[in-house]
Order: sequence, then structure tokens, then C-alpha cells
Amino acid sequence: MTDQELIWRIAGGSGDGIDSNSRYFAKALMRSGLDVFTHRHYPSRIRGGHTYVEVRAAPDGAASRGDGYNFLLALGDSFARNPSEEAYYGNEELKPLSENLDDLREGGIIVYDSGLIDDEQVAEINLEERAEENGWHVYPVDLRGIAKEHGREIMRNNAGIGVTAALLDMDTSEYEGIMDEMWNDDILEANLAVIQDGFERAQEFDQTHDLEMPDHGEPEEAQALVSGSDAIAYGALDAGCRFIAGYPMTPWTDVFTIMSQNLPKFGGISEQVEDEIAAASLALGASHAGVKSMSGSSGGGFALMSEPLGLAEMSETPVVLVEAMRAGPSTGMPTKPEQADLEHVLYTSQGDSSRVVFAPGDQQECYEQIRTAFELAYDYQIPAILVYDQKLQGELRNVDASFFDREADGDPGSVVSEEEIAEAAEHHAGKFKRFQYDADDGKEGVSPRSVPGQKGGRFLATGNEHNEAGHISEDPTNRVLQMDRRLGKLESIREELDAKGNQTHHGPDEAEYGIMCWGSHQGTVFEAVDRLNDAGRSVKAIGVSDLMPYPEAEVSEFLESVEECLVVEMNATAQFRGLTQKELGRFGPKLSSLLKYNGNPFEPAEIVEGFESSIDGEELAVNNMKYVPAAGD
Amino acid sequence: MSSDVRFTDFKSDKQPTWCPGCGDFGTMNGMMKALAETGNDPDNTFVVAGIGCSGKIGTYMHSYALHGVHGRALPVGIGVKLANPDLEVMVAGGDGDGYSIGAGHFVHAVRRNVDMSYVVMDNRIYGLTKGQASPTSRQDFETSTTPDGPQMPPVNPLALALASGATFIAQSFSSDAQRHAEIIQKAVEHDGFGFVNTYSPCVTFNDVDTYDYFRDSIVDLSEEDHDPHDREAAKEKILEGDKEYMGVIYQDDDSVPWEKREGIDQDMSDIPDGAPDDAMDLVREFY
Repeated sequence: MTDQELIWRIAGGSGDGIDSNSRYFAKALMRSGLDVFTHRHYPSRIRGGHTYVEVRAAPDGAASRGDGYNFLLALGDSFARNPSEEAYYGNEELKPLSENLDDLREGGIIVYDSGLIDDEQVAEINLEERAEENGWHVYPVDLRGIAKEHGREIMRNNAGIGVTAALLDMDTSEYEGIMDEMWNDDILEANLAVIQDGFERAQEFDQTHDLEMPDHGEPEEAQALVSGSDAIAYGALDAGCRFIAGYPMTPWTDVFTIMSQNLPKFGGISEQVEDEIAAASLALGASHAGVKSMSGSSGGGFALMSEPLGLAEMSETPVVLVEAMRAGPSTGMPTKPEQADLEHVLYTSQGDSSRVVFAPGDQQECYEQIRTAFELAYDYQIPAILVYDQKLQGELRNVDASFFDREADGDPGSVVSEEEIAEAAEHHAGKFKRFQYDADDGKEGVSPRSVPGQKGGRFLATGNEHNEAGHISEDPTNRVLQMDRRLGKLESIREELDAKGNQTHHGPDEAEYGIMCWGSHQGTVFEAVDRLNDAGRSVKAIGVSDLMPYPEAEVSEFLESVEECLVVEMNATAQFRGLTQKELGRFGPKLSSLLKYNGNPFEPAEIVEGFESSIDGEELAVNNMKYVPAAGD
Repeated sequence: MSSDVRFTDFKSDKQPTWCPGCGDFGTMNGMMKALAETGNDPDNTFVVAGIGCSGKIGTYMHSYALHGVHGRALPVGIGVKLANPDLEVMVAGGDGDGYSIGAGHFVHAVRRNVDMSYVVMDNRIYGLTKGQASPTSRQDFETSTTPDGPQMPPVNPLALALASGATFIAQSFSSDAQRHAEIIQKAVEHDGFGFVNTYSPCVTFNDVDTYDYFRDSIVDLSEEDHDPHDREAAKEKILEGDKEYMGVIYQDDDSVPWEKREGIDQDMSDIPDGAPDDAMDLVREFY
């Protein structure tokens, strides 16, 4: 944790506008030249309940949510206050204050809405006593009253922004500029008055805190505030994707929504259909007809896609699927992150898997890897899956806007022309040899693919084993040739990926110890690695993105170079460590696991602590994580 | 398309493995005739089928074809048609494929009314798995897995289609080659989702719903005073339940295919004017 950082937590009920206001606040800080990172915590309900968003802002990079936080803006849950709804929601207006105190750092600031949370309630939770113990600085403000005076009650978030700005000595002009872009006339004026009133009232306080806005210069270049889902959608559009079909499911709905709103502008099609089997089937059909297509879901919906996924593998129809993980099994915890669908995406569907699976580690990797997924899927006629999670789906981070300024990919992949079909090897009865064993003018194992409508390219695609012309065949020799050809494509793909370098390394090359992770908590792990090295440890990390085909050489080299390696993942059964041992067949005694599966992502300090106790052989001090020693230990 | 297409152009060199006398021979011939009569080029035709005896149809027809997963032929066919509206898409399946495992897709495909045709080869039995009850089997039809019969009323597929907002509902009998081909042709020509339930008897496992049974009980609507544009009359016929009608039972002449209504019936390689080149235009909104 650096001294130069603000972690601002805005807490209230679902439906209170927490999400929008935190986004505007993060954007304002970003525009003022700070690096920002947001973290969302919300329940699976539409109104009420306890929800918060954290905005972390620091001058030199913010790659994770950080540890705890240092500024609480507790709005009170307005929906709980409505007497007609009390029976359903319960008396929860205090929760945004009471439920958030455990993570607040010493010396932190608390601003709460005294218009919703009264003195009696505050006394109930011994706030005064706790504030004294922890050196917190508490500022009650009637945010609701301010909002009502100038506009409507819903604007109290902005009163809180005004108070925040005054307490941190922050210039409100960037935030007001965003309001100006969002609202017009009356609504804008009311909101600006609310902000200003909050600001002025807070200036009158006897301010006792030390926390201030981190130093920052002017932004060097335009930044974009994007989530993993935004980046996936941009990448898909730039990869030439023009068809998506889906069915809503948290947290996958984000990508589906962004694509639905934008794909038509690009001349593409977005369809909501009856279920996930249909969603992946429509994408498969559209792709078969020659349009780059995708679908996706979260774990439960992805389970339904196992049928079309297997058909895509067997019929060698390219398609890209996104799997946005949430905590399972079954319905699990719909709005909480977990990485327990690893084996699900690798192996679901009957028979041997032949698919490409990537797990991006941050927003930029989301963009890069969805593009690579499309490229490989269409070059190699194979399904490609991008697996990420509720954490990366929702967290916003600033990225250089120019990062996304790249050529769109217009290449349709390995499709033959009508001229090539006319010259192609033919089956004795005149059918096009779509599944030729040894086509020599392309990538290893890739057979010539025609598209319906092309002259002379007619073929049968089938989920049955089939011969070169596509006809159903149970001939043992053909079976082995076709299986080997399909699975052999993964070897060529591995070679291409080795040249791309999807894995991300962090820390000194010659480090003594290693930490391995995959997917969304890569930034958190890297932050922990920096702290460990600063504290005198010798540690490096690798964030693995290629899950299938597995980056055998690169990971082997990493593991050979370290004494021991801690594998950090958000699940209870160490799935990635298991995959690594299965793929490499060695290193068992070197690999121990740090696991977390309570629904909250890792904080950097937890990884530091987990690493220290793995080296010292000590019990973990906190019970929200699990340590699993190396095989034989 | 050229008008000199013959129905044999749609025939592959593969001999069907259906049992001798199977209704599916006649069903398939009618499909090929209808496609040829409507001037479709086999290179521009896409046939999708699921699993079971009916699923093999793509093997025996020489067009572009996909033999997919049980019950999922319709969503694949919709994806193909939306991606390339110039293709003639025909989906085939059995009664299990369409009304049991794929019943959900059937309802929504009917609702969506994409311009394609759907032929269900209804033999009221599961043949390829050797004689179990299907969703259209009679209530007391005893089979190895339903020793007392299913003890549930059979699905009325025509009523299911009507309730789902169908714009074309027809029924045919594979043995009446001429009428069957005519009816399929009307489904192909229909602007929207052309649904035909075709009686296609199983000679091996179904000794109740036989050729003789259908010959004796079928009522040809072309010989009756039935107006397929009269929805009320169609509803009455469909819900009667005790007659086996043949012909076009309902057709909405005002049907507009979904892709036309949604304005997505153009070739997807035609990029609309003013379309963004890449995602950078979207990124700007997030500055």
C-alpha cells in the first residue's frame, strides 16, 4: 500500500445510483491525470441491499483494488427507508455505514448521510468509540437534505461528491464537466447546485484528517476508462465479428449488452434467443455461412452450450465463445467472482476436447486475446473460448485510448475461393473434400473450407465421425486419421502462440521464488510481488493466459528457474495447479496453492501474507483463504 | 436461379440406410422436388437436420448440409439464414427432434418467422433407438420403455404452431407423393416460416400409425371447402383432434419474414453508410 493513494468507497443500496456516480468520479480522477481502478460489490437483487463500489486512484499505476480503503461515503439505503417497502427490504438503511467499517484503514475518513442515518442508529454501532480506536475522522452531513433542497433525493450521491471534493481539496471542475456531458438544463443545474452546496458545507467543517488527493500532473495522453467487458467487445468488433447471439446471465450480460448496442452500427446482427443452446447454435450456423460469430454465457449457460461446442469441434466450424465465471456450483453466488469453471471450459462436451482457451489477465489482454481467439478460430476452423470472471467483467481501469486504435481484421480465415474449389481434390462422386487429411497448401491439419452458396463446394458437415467428403464413417483407419488431424491443429496453434507471448511475466528474472496465476487477479499478484521484493524477498510471477493449448515450454522454464512456486487462484480445488501438473507431468513437489473462494477477490496484502506463510510453513492468520501444500509435503 | 434444375440434382450418391418401405424416402423425394420446382440451385441450398432416422437426410441430399445435434437443427438453420439471407434454408427433423428435445426451439422458431421451411418427418415413434414412444405416440401405445403406453396425450404440433403465432401450417403424407411435394413447395414459397408436419410411417416399429391407417383416415383439405387464410376455420380444424388433415391448414398472406421486418436481410458484406471502421469510435465515448 502506498501513502499516495485514495481508495474511495461509495456505499448504499442497489438502485441508488452508486454504479453511475462511481464511474463519473473515477473518470474525473482519470481526466485529472491519475491512474484509476474500480471494484464493485453488489447483491443479486434489483433494489435495496448492501452494495458498494471502490475507486482507487494513484499517480503511478493502479492494477488492483488495493488493500482495504481510506474514504467511506455511506449514503444509507433509501429503499430500506420507504415504510411501504420495509417489510420486504428490512430496516437496512444503516448497513452502508455499519457493514463497511471492518475494511476501513486507520486514519480513514467517514462521511455518512445524516439525513437517512440518525444519531440513535449511529450510537447502536458504537461508531464514536470505534472511530477513536482507529483514528477515523467522521463527518455526518445531511446529503438527503441538500439534494432535496436543490433537486431530488436521488441527487444525494452528488452532494456526497461535493463533500468528498472539499475534504480532499479536489478541484470539482472535471466532475462537473462530466455532469455537463451527461445532463442538460434543469437536471444539470440542480446537480451542480447539489455538488456546490455539499462542497461549501464541508469546507465549514473542522477538518481533522491528513488524507488528501494524491499528487498528479497533467495526463500525458487521452485515457479510456474500460472494463474487461468493454475491451472484449472492442476486440471482437475489431476482429471482424459481425454476429452475436445470447441469453442474459450475470455477469456475461455485459458483453452481450455492449455488442447488442453497437454491432448493428457496424452492419452486424445481435440476437437474443430462447436459451444458450440456441445462442451457440445460431452463432455456429452464422459462422458456417461465412460470418465471424460469437456467443457466450456464464457457467450455467455455458453448460448448455456444451452441445453446440462439441458440434463445432467435430464439424470444424469456427466460433468464439465467452465464459464469464461467477461463483458456483449451480446458481452459486451470481454476483461474486470465482475461477472454478476452468475445467468446465476445458473439458465440457463429450469426447476429447479440441478447442483454444484463453484467460486474459487485464483489460488490454481482453482486447488482445479476443482478437487472437477470432484469428485462430477462423484460421484453424476450431472453437475458441475466452474465459474471464465477474471481477474483470466489472472493474474499470484506465488504458491509453490509443491502445485500441488498431487495424480491424478483415481476414475471413481459411476459406477457399470458387476458383480454388474448381481445382480442389474431389471425391469420386463429385463432392468437395471438405475434410481432406493432407491438404498441403495451408496450415498443418487445416482442410479446405467452402461456404454455402459457393459453386461446387457442397459438403455435409456432421457431428458424426466422417470421411474426407464429410460422409458418416466408422472406418477405423479414417477415424484415427481424422482425430489426429483435428487434434494436431493444437500443436500448430501452440507454435503460433509461443511467438505471440500471451503469458505475462513480472519481477526479477533471477528471483528465488515464483508465484503463478491465471486470469483476472494478475494485477493483484504483480502488486504483491512488488511489495515482497521491496521487503527483501526475491520473487517473480507469471500470469498464464493460454490454458489450451498449454504453454508447456514457457511455464516449464519458469518453474525450473525457481525454488518453489505458489499457485494463486480463486477456487477451492486448485484447478489450475492440477492442469499445470497434468500438462507438465512434473514439478509436483514445487507447487503449493493459495486459494480463495469466499466470493471476494484477493487483495495484494493477502497474497503477501499467503506467500510469507508458505515460505515459513506457518498457518494462515486469516480464515478466508486456504493454503494447500505441495504434493508430498 | 436457372429453371432447368432437376430434383435428381439434389440427390447424393449415398444409398439411404432407411428400412425398405420407410416413409422417409417419400418425404425426402418431395423435399427435393419442391426445391427443384422452386428453382433453387443445390449450391445455394442449405439443409439442416438433427438426429435420428430423419437426421440422415443431409447425407442423401446433395446440397450444402449440416447434420447436427439432436433437437437443435432449427437454431442452426436460423443462424445460417440470418448470416446469408440469399440461401434457401430447409430444416428437417423427426417428431422427437422437433416436439420433444427441440420443442422449445420449435416454439421460438415459429415466433421468429424467419423465411425458411421446416419439415417434420412424423412417424409417431423413435425408430433408430428401436421403438420407444415419441411425443406424438398415442396415449396407450405400449413400447419397451413405456410398457403401459405414455399415458399422456400426444402433442398436437399444429396447435403448438398456431399458439406460437405461425404464419404457415400444413400437414402432408409421404405416400401421397404429388400432394406431399405440392405442400412442401408451398412452404418453401411462403414468405416466412413454412411448417409442414409430414406423416412418414415407420414400417418396422409402429404397427398402429401405418400406411393403411393414414390412407383410411386422411382428409385432403383440397377436397374440402377450407380457406387456409381463415384463421378461425384453421383453429377449428387443428383443435378437432380426431381427424388427420392433409394440406395447407393455415397461411397468413401478409406474413413478412422477420429478417425483412428487422431490416437485416441484406448481404452482410454490404456495410451500411456511415458505419464505423473499427471500435475506436466507441472508445471515444469512454474518454
